[in-house]
Amino acid sequence: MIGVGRSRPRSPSARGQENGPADRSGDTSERASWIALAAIPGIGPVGFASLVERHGSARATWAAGERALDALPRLDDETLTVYRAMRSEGVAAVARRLEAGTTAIGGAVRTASEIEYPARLAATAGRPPVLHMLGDESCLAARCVAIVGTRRASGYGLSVAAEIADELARAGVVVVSGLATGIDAAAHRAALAAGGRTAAVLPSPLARVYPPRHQDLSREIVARGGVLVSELPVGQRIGRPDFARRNRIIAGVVDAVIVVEAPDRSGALLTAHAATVLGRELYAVPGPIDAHASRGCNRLIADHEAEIVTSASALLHRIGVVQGQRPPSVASLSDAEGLVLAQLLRRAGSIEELLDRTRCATGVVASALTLLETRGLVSAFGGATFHPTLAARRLAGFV
Amino acid sequence: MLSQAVSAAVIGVDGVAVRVEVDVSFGLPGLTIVGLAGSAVLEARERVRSALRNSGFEVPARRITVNLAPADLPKQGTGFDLAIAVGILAASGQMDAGALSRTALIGELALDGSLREVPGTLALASAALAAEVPAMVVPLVSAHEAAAVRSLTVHGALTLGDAVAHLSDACPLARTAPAAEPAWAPPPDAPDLASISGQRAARRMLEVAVAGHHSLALCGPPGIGKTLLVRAAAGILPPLEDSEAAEVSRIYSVAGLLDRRVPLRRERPIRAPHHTTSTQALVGGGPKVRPGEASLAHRGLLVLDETLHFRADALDALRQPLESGSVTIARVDGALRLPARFTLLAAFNPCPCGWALGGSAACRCDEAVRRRYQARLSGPLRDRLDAVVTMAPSRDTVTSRPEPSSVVRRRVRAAWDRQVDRQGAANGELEPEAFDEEHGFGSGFGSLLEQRGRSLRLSPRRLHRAARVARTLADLDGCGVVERAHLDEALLHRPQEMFA
Repeated sequence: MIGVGRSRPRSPSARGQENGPADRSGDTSERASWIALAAIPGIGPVGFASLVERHGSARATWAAGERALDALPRLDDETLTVYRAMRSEGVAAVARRLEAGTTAIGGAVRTASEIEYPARLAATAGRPPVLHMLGDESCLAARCVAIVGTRRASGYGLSVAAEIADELARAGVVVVSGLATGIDAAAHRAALAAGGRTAAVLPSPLARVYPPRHQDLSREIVARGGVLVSELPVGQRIGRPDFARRNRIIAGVVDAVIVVEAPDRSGALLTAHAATVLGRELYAVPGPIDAHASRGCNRLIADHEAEIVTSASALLHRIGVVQGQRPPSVASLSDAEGLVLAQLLRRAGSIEELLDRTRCATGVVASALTLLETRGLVSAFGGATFHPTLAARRLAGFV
Repeated sequence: MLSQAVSAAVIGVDGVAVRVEVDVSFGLPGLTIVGLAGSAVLEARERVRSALRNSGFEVPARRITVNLAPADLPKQGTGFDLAIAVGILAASGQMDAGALSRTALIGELALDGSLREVPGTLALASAALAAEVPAMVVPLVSAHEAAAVRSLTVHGALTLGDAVAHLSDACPLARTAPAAEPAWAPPPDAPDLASISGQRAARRMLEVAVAGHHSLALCGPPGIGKTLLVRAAAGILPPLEDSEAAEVSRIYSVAGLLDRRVPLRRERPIRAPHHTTSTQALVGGGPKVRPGEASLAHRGLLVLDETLHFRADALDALRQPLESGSVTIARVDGALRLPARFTLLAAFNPCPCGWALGGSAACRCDEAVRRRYQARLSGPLRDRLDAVVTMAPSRDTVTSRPEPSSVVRRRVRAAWDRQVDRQGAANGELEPEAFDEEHGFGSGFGSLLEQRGRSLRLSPRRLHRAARVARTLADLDGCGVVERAHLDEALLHRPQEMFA
């Protein structure tokens, strides 16, 4: 049990006015109190901040007993049950157990006042009090740009996300996203493929990657010098992964947010909103006005909330990073292949559209597409829509 | 006294000659049938007894033993009735047994002695011919069907009495002449390709699938014309070759689906089972083995509309026929092989709501949902597809006039004839060993194939399938040699993960 009736813990801290646990060598029990209190589901970052402010410290909050929780705006049974269980286990023991869970898989627990806690995020209101991180934490101290978007992405969205991530990674920027399917995964993968570092903010504990299909991707991120970030301790039982909180963290850790493709009410728009609130630069990739998946992006642009992305290089220029190295150009093409590629560079499309636009025979266009694909100039998303690749755009001098 | 008559049984979709031996001897009066006879065969006792009596013959009050040889072959059905009845008459001296060895006897007996047809007459007639029996007596209604086996002398009889009179030369029956074959014409109800505008890639691959017997899948949003295209395939199919027609007609005869007026089917079958079809109905089987849809589509098209809504086990069961051209059904008493060399035409939506690839509505499906949906087309089955065409809606208006079915049909016919001349089989059945200069694959083809396999990361099986499709593309273009462009076009339509 923690000491009842002791004097208020001494004021922290590593970051001046903030209330945070003191450095680990000094007063461990404030840090432990902090970690344990943050792990109670139902006490979000805001609830946590109000409790600590009211009582002066996390330790004092524990000391104040169960009545302290009455100050929370919403108090459900689960929160109380967990709170009581932690009290009977002992706050220090709980904190040790939670931290051991993360260190056991090679990660580290960082409270908001520690120097390793991402600085940009630490300076935001509503920051998570505790982060669990796996990988190279220094990533998040570097230049970070978030690429977010819908899970139901179109071929267009995927290729744009990949192109932007590729450019950013080549320029040495850390690409941050949420490890979700669709745009997120495309951004992570392209950054890795370009030899860059990327950070993923998970909606789930570190040991239970969500979606499970991206387990390999998450390992790759860590292996290639990136980092995985989660608000939740390892072993935390979660009902639904908390996407909304994850999305706010993404906006918090980066300098700029790029929304590639987002329909109305997409989770990516939450990130965009958080970016606006936090004063982050916000960019949106425009889409066709009849494309459901681009509606949110187009609206952000129309409402002057986000700046329009007209090309990856313009974006880089805007963000203020220098473009990376370009790969050498590709071997020459036949007339038909050149014609097909030129049409694709004007606008991606299905084979049917290409037939109309090139006025060539079906066989000619079809074989040209395969040849362009083997040369890495065209990618086909599921064989439906053909997109020029980054290499093709470079070849044409578009990038 | 002993007599021997010839009949035939259907095993799977093939006929097998069966000797019906009858022995009438002293002993307790009774009729015993041996030789792994099924219950319908055993009930022949009662039918034969009544039919004999009601036709004015005498059932000898002796011990009658009927043996169906080969005795270890399980036999089903009612087709032995006539042979048993005639055998009893011969064995009891009521008629001359001389003609029995030269005439196969097929038919079910009614109690009044009239003859009823049995399924599989065509298969039974072929079996008789194979057993070197030159003539056959069948129920009159089946006579035309049996006569489709041209070198067999077929006589149609109305009753047991007619058959006996014919066999004892008292009143010979006329020979049923083979039906004159009507001039072949494409089915009139197929939609004409001229009415389908756009979708040129899909049209071209449909032509390829039909011409070279390649399995094809069409994937696209609802209403884009997948079903219409698939139905239009009927209008461009070439007629069956002679040997094919015999095979197909036999299957239809066994299934009881043969048109009696046109016993030799020239039209390539098109089967389009509903997606609720059971595995058994799709590939055949059941207590009395019946050919399934896969066999009924032999040498024709098996159309699976809404493919992904078929039961997973039913789809998986199609892997074997797609690979080997036949279905093997394991039974207690051995395995049966039913021919099932069909061309698969599959059509499905890209996701449950159908709009994942764009179109007039927005897709409401989660990526995981789409992925699960596509996973219904299991990897092994996807691997056995020769081509997939993703049909995307076209933004631009098409001005050129689409080709009518008659033009496409001529081209398909020409491509088919080239295949038959070159290798006597469809390109879809080419073995990888046949990818040589004799078959129009140039010397550089192997290395080109290898190179494409490397850069697109394709398995050898996938490459072989693309090479076969390329061969058909060349045949449709009238090219003797398969060119790089043909292979590349074939590769463009390779099946791939739609939501990678």
